[in-house]
Amino acid sequence: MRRRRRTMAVAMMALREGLLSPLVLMALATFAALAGLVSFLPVLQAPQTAVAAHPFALFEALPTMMAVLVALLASVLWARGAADGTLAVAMAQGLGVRMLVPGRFSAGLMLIAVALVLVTPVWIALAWMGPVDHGAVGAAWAVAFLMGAAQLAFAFAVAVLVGRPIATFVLAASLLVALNLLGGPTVQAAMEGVFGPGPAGALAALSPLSGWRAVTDGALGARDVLQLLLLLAAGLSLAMLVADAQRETAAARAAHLPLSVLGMIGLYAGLCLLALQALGDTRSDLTAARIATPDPALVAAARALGEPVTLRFASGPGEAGQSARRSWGELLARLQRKAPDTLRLEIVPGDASGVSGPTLTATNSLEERVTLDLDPARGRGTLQRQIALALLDLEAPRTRMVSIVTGVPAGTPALEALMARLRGQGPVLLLPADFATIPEQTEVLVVARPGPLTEPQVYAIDQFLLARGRAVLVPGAPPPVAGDIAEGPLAPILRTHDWQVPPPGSHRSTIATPQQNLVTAWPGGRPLAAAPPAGLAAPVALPVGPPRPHRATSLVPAHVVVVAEAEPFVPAGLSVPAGAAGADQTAQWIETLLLPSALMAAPPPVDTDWPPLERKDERTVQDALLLSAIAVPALVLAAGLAAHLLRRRRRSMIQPGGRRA
Amino acid sequence: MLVIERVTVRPRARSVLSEVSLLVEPGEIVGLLGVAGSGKTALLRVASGLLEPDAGTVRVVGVDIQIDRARAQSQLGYMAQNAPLPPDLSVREYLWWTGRARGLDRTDLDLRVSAGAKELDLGSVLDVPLDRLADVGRRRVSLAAALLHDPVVLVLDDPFCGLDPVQKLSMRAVLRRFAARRSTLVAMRSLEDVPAICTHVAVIQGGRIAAAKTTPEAFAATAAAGRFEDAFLKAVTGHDPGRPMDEPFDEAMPEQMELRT
Repeated sequence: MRRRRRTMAVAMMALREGLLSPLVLMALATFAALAGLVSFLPVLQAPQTAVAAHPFALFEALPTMMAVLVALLASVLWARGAADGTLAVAMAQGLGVRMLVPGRFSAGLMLIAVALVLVTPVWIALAWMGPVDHGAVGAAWAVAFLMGAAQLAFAFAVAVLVGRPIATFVLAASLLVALNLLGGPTVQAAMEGVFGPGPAGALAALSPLSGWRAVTDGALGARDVLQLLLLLAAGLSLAMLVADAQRETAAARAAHLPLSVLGMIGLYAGLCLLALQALGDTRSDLTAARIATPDPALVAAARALGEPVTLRFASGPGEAGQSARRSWGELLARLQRKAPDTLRLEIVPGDASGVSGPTLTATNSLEERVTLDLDPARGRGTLQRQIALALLDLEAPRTRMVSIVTGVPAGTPALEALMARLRGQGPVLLLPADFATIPEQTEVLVVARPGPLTEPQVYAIDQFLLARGRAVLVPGAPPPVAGDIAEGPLAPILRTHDWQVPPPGSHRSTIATPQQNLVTAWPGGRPLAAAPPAGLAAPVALPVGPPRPHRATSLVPAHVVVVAEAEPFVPAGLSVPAGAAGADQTAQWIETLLLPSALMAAPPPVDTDWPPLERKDERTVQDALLLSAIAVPALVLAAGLAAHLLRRRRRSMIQPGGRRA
Repeated sequence: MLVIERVTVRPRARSVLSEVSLLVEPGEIVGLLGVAGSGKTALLRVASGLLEPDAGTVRVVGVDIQIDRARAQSQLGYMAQNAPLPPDLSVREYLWWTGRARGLDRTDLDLRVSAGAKELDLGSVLDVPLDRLADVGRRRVSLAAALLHDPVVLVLDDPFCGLDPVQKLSMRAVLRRFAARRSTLVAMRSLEDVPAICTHVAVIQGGRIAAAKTTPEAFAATAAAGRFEDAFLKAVTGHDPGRPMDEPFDEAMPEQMELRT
């Protein structure tokens, strides 16, 4: 207790020294002025937007500003005393380094708190100008204090080692800025180029700022906090170790100090890497609107995906893009971490994206795409629900226009009955025997046992395929004329694309092209013969050549299914009646292939019984004014109270023999 | 009582202090004399616990300062050379917070600060920032801070440095008053202050105590040879002022005075 009291006395004395030092006062004033400048410069350049109203610019500059401030504080609070001898006098007064270092460090902490309090008007003013996520800003403010504390501990270690004010300031500020840059994206990218991602990541993990960007978005990582605490502990321990060693003679010091310092640095690095491994990306969302937390419905939709979907986020250029990247980047990263098996995430930075505003493109394995404009005006909750719907849409393809070419004569009862059933599922068009083109809106073409095809018809089908249209090809001739498939009407197409029809009885295609691998590359990587994907009738998926421009489905690659009649490609639960022949069998094939497949599927029932979106409370000017009206007087009141307490203490000292109860 | 026993400080190959022994009894003021670099400040730093010796012990009122530094330092007041003080605090603030850092109670401390300021004639400058004080004022403040907890042992490093004659007279009076009942070790560069305040003198040269005697004995022993300054010069350099400088020192070494260990 007595020791704590003495440490507090050291702290209060040092605080008083700091508050009376013109250098410190000037530094605090400069800190506040710079904070205002970097915060409001974007506001002056841009209208009152969400971008301008968020103190991102301040958060960008804060680590550097803090590094310079704490270097100065360490210089004034320790190095100056070490150089002029006042610390030696204090040590001769029975103050050990375990009181002196923490005491003076505590004074530095209080001065950092003063600096951050001086900057709070920026927060208040920005809240007045537009909606500010107080959760995110508050989290950043709190972590900025912790960051300042960690940097101060580091600067104290430098001050104790160097012992000269100017050298301490220059060295500590330089080292801290370098350490900050180590965790920054620019240096990280450069290091990745030189050392590779692994060592670069490990080096970046040493920087206390590796998680600062996420923190400013309100996503507070356990590792980030632990890393700051580690730096704080390492800095203070090192300062005390060196200060204690300075009582010893140079020879004794040289015997153990270098090893101790290296050991301390090694311990810090080791614990940082351990924290990186153990805690990874464990983060909590401190934003007021939980903007860094994916909506439960979105997470559920992502986890329910049967096949991977790639989310490509393009932030767009300029400040707005930067802001969108910060806010959406963290959310999408968290979403991807929650559904790592089904989601891939690509973040395209700023100007490289080629879009004017933040855009999200979701692409499934069939390269079907849904593009969403992440307009901030639509509200984050609404946009999250739209992303969820997009994922569900990609998972359950839309009903597609199907065109059927068959040699079965129109009007055949089996075919008519089939068409009636298919029309119940979606738009289906039976092309006439003399068709010349494939209708423009066709998304799936079924060529089932066609009759003789003219050259223009073969050309039309081929063009459809080359343009990456989807098709199901049943190349045999209509029974009872069971001709050789290789010589049937589709033979030219099969030859053009080097498709070989599997021999009868084979469970696997013998298509002798690299596309054969796609058989096992179907979602989940399950071998087809062993376990055909549920709901998929046709097993062979063949992309046809490189993407080509093609009407409405130009972005959709071809998905061609070639079916050999003799093959038992019939999924479980469906069967082709043995002995069925002619039109009946053809109709049966078509139905078997189309109805349960992904090629013509009605969207499965989607559970959209989501909890209602929380209303996004965007603060009004009145709210901001109310907040300011409370915050500013409270700040003034606190400052006045502190000044009063200081004056009272001073008065008690002035009165000779003056006692306090 | 301050006991310095066979203290050796060897920062590198050369010793700064070599088996130095010294005893300062209560009521004694031992003036530590020596040329620059002779080891005065190093000895004072060892005596006040700021520097750990490579060998030897320092005991303050029987407490080994290397074993229980805090307890030993609680009985010790230290005034550094040039009286370094935090420039921005006022005299009152400095004394008050120094007392608090010493662990003194607030109520008691108020009384001590007032009384100390009165005794050291600091009453008129209590609210003056320390960097505006004259040298003598700064030394008085340093002395007041060193005396705040009423220590038994005082270690003062050159308290007269840079003072004008009037200020020196004033400082002498202050030291005589406060050192009377304490064990006081004072490093001095000015010989003229020795007879005024010191009960004993110890001459340190090359990290060793070259001579130590009571002040009257020292003066008596050197009276025949001439001035005290000449005797001191002879003690620390081996040079007899009456002889040319190129004569070998060995022949000019004074007789060793009794070491008080």
